[in-house]
Amino acid sequence: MNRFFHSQVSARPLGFFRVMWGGFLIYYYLSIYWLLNLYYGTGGLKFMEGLTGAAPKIIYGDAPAWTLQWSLFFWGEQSNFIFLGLYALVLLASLGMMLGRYTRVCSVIVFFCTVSFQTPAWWGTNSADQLVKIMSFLFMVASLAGYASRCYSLDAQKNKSIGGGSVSGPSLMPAWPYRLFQVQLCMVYFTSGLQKAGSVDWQSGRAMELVFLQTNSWMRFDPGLSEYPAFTAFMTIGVLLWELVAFPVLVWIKPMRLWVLASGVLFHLGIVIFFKVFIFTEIMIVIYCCFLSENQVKWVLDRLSAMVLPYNSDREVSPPMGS
Amino acid sequence: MVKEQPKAKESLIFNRRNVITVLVLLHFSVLLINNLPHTPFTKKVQNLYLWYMNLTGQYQTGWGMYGTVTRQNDHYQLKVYNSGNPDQEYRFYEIENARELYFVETIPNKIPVLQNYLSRAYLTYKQKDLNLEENEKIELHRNSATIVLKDQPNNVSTALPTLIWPLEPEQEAPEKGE
Repeated sequence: MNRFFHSQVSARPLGFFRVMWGGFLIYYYLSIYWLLNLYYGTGGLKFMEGLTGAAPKIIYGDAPAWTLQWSLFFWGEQSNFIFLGLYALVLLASLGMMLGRYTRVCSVIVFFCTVSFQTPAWWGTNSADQLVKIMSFLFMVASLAGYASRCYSLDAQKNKSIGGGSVSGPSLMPAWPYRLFQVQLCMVYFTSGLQKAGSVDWQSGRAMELVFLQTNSWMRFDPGLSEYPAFTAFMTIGVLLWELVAFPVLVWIKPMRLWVLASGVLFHLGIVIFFKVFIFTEIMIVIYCCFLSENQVKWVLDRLSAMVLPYNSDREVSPPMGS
Repeated sequence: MVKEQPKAKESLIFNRRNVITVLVLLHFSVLLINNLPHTPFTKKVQNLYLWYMNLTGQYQTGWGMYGTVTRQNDHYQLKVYNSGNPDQEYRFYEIENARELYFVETIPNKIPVLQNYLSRAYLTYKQKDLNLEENEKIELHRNSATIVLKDQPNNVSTALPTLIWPLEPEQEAPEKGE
């Protein structure tokens, strides 16, 4: 237990993850503006009486499940100044997260704005948006603990220039911030598989066939796979096993990790090629960064710099394996 | 020295590392319970942890994409026509944006008043987005048919009535047409 949570690991992967997360947030908020405007702009859904004006009430049985759900928009009248101000603020904070400048403050702003924008937005958001909310909290914890900005950040550079911190050598940190992200990711896949496993369509192996028959709106094009029920049944079982066992278990085995992550990237790219989904593919691939090792991050950055600066890339690029 | 032993032991237990371990383990336990299917057990304990999940924005309602696969092949389109000139041809727009599609897909399952609010909000946005002129009207159409698997008896899908939501402030329920 002590080793799992407190062994000293490199802070570089978390720094890289933070940069990716900040970039994702900018993309996310730019793409969702129309929906936020629909809720919080002039005549927005949030401010229509009887719609989302009060805190949502999700009731299971006779117990209300809404205790302490909150949003800054629950406590005020419609104001374009507040809406656009918060929107600009969250974009700025996302940029701050990406660059690693005022990381602690930016992570808190991102968390407050994300929860505020999403909690009253019942329609047009799904579990991918929920994941953005969850990640913003976890990044706030990692940032406030001081680990998210130790590498690849302007904060670290500033500390270095004024002689503070220990950025000269490899920056080490305890493993628990990584575990927060990693366990959450595995939980997403495992419980998704568990829910599917309880459904008749998935048990009978017909789920993917039914999905491939929704050709009119949700598919980008019809690959004709519904004509091959044996193949779609194989895909159905494959998805179940991958979500229930392959990812949540095998990703913890170091020699298997890269292969599992690569299969995950292919899995999500496959979804986005065939189906109209939003954000889920992007955010899941970004979260995979929490499983990268220091060497793998260095390898990715070396490749990127070789692509950006091709004439300066005659140095050897080490393979991504190992940690 | 002997008197100091309990104090030393106490500081060993309540050090920063152990506190973090306990907090992270608590967080994981709550995550697991929150993600389990709802049972009498989860119902019994939910009041112990829901405040934490909601306060921190961690509440998780399920991740299963296509957990229950619909048996309908829906097709959503936007119809634009010139109300001032009935002879002018109308045109249809496909809804390509996945989030827009997700938004409009929720409309038919709501009560009529809510359908009216949601469709009006969406169509007002599309009116601006498509730069429609003043006399151009916009409607949301849903065409649908049942999905029938190939090896099922009477393997013929049934077309469902088209649902139409016009951009009318007073409209409360969708019209059935075609």
